[in-house]
Amino acid sequence: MSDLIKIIIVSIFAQNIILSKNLGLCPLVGSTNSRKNALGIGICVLIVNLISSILIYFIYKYLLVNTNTTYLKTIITILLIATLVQIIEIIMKKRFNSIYKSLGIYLPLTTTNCAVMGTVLLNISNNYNFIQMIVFTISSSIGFMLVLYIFSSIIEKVNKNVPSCFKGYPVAFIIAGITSMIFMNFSI
Amino acid sequence: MIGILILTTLGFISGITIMLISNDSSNINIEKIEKMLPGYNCNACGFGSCKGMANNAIKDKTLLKKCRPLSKEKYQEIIKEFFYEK
Repeated sequence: MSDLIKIIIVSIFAQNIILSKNLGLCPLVGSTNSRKNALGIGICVLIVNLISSILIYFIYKYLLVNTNTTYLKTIITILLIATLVQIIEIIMKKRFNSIYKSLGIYLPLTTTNCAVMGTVLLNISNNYNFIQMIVFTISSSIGFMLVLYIFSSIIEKVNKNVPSCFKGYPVAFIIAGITSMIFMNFSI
Repeated sequence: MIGILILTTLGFISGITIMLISNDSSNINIEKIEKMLPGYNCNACGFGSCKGMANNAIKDKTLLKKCRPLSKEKYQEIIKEFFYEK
């Protein structure tokens, strides 16, 4: 039990997937428009992360290890994540059209989101068992969503008071650097 | 050799799954489009009723032009609401 709590705290604060490991920066910079978009992107990442982690766990443990083909893990990860994102996009287009339109291009972009693929491959390289894997996946997605929400709230306020040459992406990257220095304090 | 087999099989399974899900015909958008059509059931489009037009317009949005009572503004509204892709 105590190692689960350790995993939760480490993956949300000390080794946050965006601010410490620097994976998934595209949605971070792309969520500068609104806070609701940030939450939407975070929930998509959570769902894709969870389902693909579970699938890859079983495929790796029972198929790839037994047949000595562990070199296939990267490409099978990409294949499964792309398939899952397509399926989720089709289902959302049919049932929840308004959410689908408000997410726009960021739903298909979770295919190439390094945060999803990084979490899946980190599960494999850290040799977690099933419960630890689920806890790690959920808590790193929650850390992702938290940072995205904080970031979009800060940018909303800051964007009004900066010179016009800094508006948009320049101030976003500066704030990302400052925020990651803040989160560095958790790891000491 | 075994690696090729594994990758091919997984690719097939993923492709067939996507195909099965996209052919699922329960689509809530059909009812919404049907509500936005004029509702006269005049068969000017050739599909029998406004529901038939909505069923076919999901697949091909240019068929909406066949609806004679549909005004240009409403047509643009339907296109913007359901077929707008970024």
